[in-house]
Amino acid sequence: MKEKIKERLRERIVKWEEKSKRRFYIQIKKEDLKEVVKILFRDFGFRFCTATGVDNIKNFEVIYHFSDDRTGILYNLRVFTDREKPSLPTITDIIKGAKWIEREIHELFGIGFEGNSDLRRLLLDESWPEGVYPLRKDYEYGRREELPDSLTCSISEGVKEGRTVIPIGPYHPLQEEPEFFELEVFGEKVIGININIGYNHRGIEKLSEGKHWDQVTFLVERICGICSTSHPFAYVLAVEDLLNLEIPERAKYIRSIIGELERIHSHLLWLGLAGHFLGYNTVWMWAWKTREVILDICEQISGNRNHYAMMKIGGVRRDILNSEVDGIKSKLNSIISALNLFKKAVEDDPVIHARTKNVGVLTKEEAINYCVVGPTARPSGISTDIRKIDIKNSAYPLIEFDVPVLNNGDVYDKIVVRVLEMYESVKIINQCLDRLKDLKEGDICEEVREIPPGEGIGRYEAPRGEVFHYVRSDGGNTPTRHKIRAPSYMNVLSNEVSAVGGTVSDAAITLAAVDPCYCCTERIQAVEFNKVKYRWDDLIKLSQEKTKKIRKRLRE
Amino acid sequence: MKLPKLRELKEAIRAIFSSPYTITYPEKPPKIHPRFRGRPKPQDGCVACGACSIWCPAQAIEFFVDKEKGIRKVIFHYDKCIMCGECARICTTQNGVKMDTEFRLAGFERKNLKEDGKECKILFCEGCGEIIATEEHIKWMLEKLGEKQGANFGLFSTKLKDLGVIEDVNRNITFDKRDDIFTLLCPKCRHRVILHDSK
Repeated sequence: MKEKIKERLRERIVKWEEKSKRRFYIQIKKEDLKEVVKILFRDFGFRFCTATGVDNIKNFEVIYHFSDDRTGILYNLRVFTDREKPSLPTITDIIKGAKWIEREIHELFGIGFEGNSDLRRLLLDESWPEGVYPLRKDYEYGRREELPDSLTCSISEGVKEGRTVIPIGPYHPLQEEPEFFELEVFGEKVIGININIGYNHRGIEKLSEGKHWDQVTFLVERICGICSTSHPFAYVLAVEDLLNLEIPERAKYIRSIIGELERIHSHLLWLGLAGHFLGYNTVWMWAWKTREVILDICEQISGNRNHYAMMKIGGVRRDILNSEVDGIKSKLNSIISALNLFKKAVEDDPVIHARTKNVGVLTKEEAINYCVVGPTARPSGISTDIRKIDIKNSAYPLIEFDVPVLNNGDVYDKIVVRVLEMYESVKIINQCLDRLKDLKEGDICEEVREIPPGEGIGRYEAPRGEVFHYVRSDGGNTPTRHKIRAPSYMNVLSNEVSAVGGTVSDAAITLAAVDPCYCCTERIQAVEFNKVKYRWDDLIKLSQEKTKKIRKRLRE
Repeated sequence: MKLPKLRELKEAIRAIFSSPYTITYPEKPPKIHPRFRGRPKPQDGCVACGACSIWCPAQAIEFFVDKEKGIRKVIFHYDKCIMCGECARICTTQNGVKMDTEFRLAGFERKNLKEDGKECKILFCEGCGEIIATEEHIKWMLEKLGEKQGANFGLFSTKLKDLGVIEDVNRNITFDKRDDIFTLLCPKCRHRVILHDSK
């Protein structure tokens, strides 16, 4: 594959670097960017991960990360642009999934994208001053901008006659996190959707540039409470990729155990919420009751239910006692009967079938175009799982497990994939615990003293999909650039196609089906609305009423 | 339609006859694992060295120095604390702060959400008046040195003072007499006394 790419690109390559076996950096001229992206994305079928902007002080650098999901090799296109009038050609006409990242780089670095007409703010506050770019190096660490106390925003501009805009969000007790959807409806049919995020933006990438390498693990852990081990996992993998370090075997197993426990409790949480949205509050209570068992195991191993603080550059922070392994195993296996209950309920409950089959369909082509990842991509027939291809310092290459892949891409398949994945996670944890017994206690960490200059990329399969971390070091105590891309960043955008064409009552479950996690790099702001027609609780009520109707019809 | 309902019915009946899964929380104490990381609780073994305050990822530990009163202590701010347990891991004496299982830390005012560590007496350099360390820190260090603790006369005299073997005397330090070597000095002044007393 490497030779093929070299031959196709030939004189377009300015410099070819191989930082490690699975990380290739290709420097190209910015005029060739579009051409090369087209070749990599269309001809070779690589998945676009994200793009990273870097301020090198003398110029700007943007790195486009492409992943080959068959081999797990990352091809990174490096493009430079000058500081005076920074601009690059857009790639959104080739890859739809690059829409958000171009908007983000534009607002944080001030790099323009020729040909992209939609460069609105994505994460920053609307009252943020123009021409101030927080991720540039001349923006001092800890500097604050004066923002107005209140701001009034209006929606539904440019809505055509006969159509209504239903705002969902950004704040409501029933929504777990602030997010804002504008559904454009005609009658009961959804004909358009506009997704606004950024209400939770905390500037973590900038914060990370002021913390010590080891302190950053605690910072990235707090990006999200549910995937609180996926972010540190990906981060330590990125630094270990930079160091080219191999960690002790025992630490590998412990890492995987924590990662999989997190996957089970995250999926159970989602399953409960999905039940709630459909009007099955019993499922909600049962799923969360089962989840408590997993959280107890997490507390026993790490000392906390959610923020485990287990990951460390070079290993893990705490050991699992060999004497406790059997107790953990029997606790874990006690949830299998509950999983069976959920699996059968999903399999042969006609109401769930009626509510979720052929609802919110994401086709394979669209899934590839929007570059979706994880349990949003796998129901659409894309068999991508980072655990199978590219996690060096973990137990995944050492044990056996399957990756469930389905083909319909509707909400039903998204439920089934998650339920099946929980079985696989139980299988993985059981194997890891068995191996732990044969290994000596205490050998869990490799000493790391200094981080040399360089760059590294770490990826981990979080419960919602691929987490992507890029770090760059100049040999100092802190990272000079730390790029974080959470899975929902790619998945939420796919609602543009999956929610459109359905009915309003199906929108709640469709939007929830990607298991969105907005915590990932966002901001806070208060917005007032005029003309509010439906609220999120109305929408859930609508969704629950539809279930009732179907139930009645089935009875007759 | 019937089969799934029957299955759920079985689960429902089982739920009726078993005790509730939840607990009546404020009345009954919750089940907590002894290794649970609640808050960092300052202990008597603290020597106020300040290592935890430098390391804390959330900058929740304040390093409080009062030169006039001659005391130093660390203050744990629980409103900023993320309960990661790094202070307990990094602790110089391994005995200055321990994570305990207390998790009920809510309060009405932010400024009350804190706990002071042990107040330690600062030892000042008798030459220049700079802070050397706290008395507790020096004693802990001498304890670790064991039989070699006599090597630094100045520091050792602190211990002897504590034991009541010698008395506190006011000395006049001029950096040029042999006697100065027995005074309590910061590393810089000690360097001067040992290397430059060639008058």
